[in-house]
Amino acid sequence: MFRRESGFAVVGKGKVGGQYKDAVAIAFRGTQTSFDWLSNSNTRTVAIENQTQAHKGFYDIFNSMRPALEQQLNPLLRGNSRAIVHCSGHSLGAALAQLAAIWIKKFYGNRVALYTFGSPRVGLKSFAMQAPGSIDASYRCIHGDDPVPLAPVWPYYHAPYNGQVVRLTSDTGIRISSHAMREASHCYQNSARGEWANLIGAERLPKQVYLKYGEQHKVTFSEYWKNQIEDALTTILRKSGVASAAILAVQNLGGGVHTFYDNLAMELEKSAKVFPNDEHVKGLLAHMLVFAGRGAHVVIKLTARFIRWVFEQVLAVLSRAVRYAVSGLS
Amino acid sequence: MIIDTLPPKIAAALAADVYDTLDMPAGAVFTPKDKALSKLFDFSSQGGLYMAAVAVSCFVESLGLL
Repeated sequence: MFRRESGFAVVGKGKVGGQYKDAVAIAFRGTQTSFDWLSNSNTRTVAIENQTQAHKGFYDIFNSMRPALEQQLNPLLRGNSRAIVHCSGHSLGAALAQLAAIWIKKFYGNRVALYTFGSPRVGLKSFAMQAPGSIDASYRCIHGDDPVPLAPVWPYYHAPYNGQVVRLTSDTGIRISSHAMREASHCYQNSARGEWANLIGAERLPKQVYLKYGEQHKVTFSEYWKNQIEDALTTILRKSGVASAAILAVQNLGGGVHTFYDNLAMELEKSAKVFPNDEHVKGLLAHMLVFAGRGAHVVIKLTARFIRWVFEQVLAVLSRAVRYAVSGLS
Repeated sequence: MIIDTLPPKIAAALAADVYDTLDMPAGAVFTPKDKALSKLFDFSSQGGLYMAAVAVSCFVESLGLL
């Protein structure tokens, strides 16, 4: 079975005598038909050329485009080491732009600048830490209330790891329309203004977080609370000695996120048998349930089956938000 | 290394205008809507050496995941 038209690219050459006469511009886009690659059941990973782990769906789409790209880029970049390549993309196109930028740098050796708008996470920590290191300039642009950059969930990371982010709006919460690239009041084309130097901000770093049971009523469906929940989960795993095993397990997310969270639920069940981890796990689960819209008064059970169900609720609500945001693209 | 990057407005226009490629056949000429982008980059095959617009239609094996 083959699926048509999952990605597009356009390639342009800097105008002779112009400011970018030595430059090549490439823009990528995904399509509505490819939004399923973001669903949680499709988040398997694959080892890419540099042995880091990237999202298999994104990588397969990029690989299908690579021969055509190579055909177009060879006459522009072979023997033209001065050419700077500018890769830009939005949404799924941003994911493709990241993979393309890494490939162009490695394959052609030219200087590469990367610009992404509302990009999902493309790989695991190994990818985020290593893969984009060779790119000469990288601008990851987001809106504070765009849901797509929240997906896929941890253990996926944004690249560059601990890198800078260009937060074009400071809105909080989740607004589906904030993912639009154009033709909407809150679209990226309207918010991308000014100079990079004035727009770049520090990315938040993962931190130690404990969520107390009884305080879950504070939770809103927002990027802030999604980050708090991720940090609380990794804090528990790290403190209970599960982190190294879990991280090793996800170096190859061959079974996808669902299998990963099955294993994680079992590890959390074991962890919760020891004081004070039981309170930390209970607090985490309570906050996750409110985040997923399940209410603040669900009776918490510290069993793998219940923990797995809570994970499912959170993954489902995030998946829905992303699906709505991406399906609205023209 | 410091390189001459595109300003935010042009980088965004590049990502936005590629949405017009949905109905384009491979090899068709691409003309950006954004005038500033059009002035900086040549996406047209007219003018010689450099190939211009490429709309790449992809075929992706679903691997039974969808």
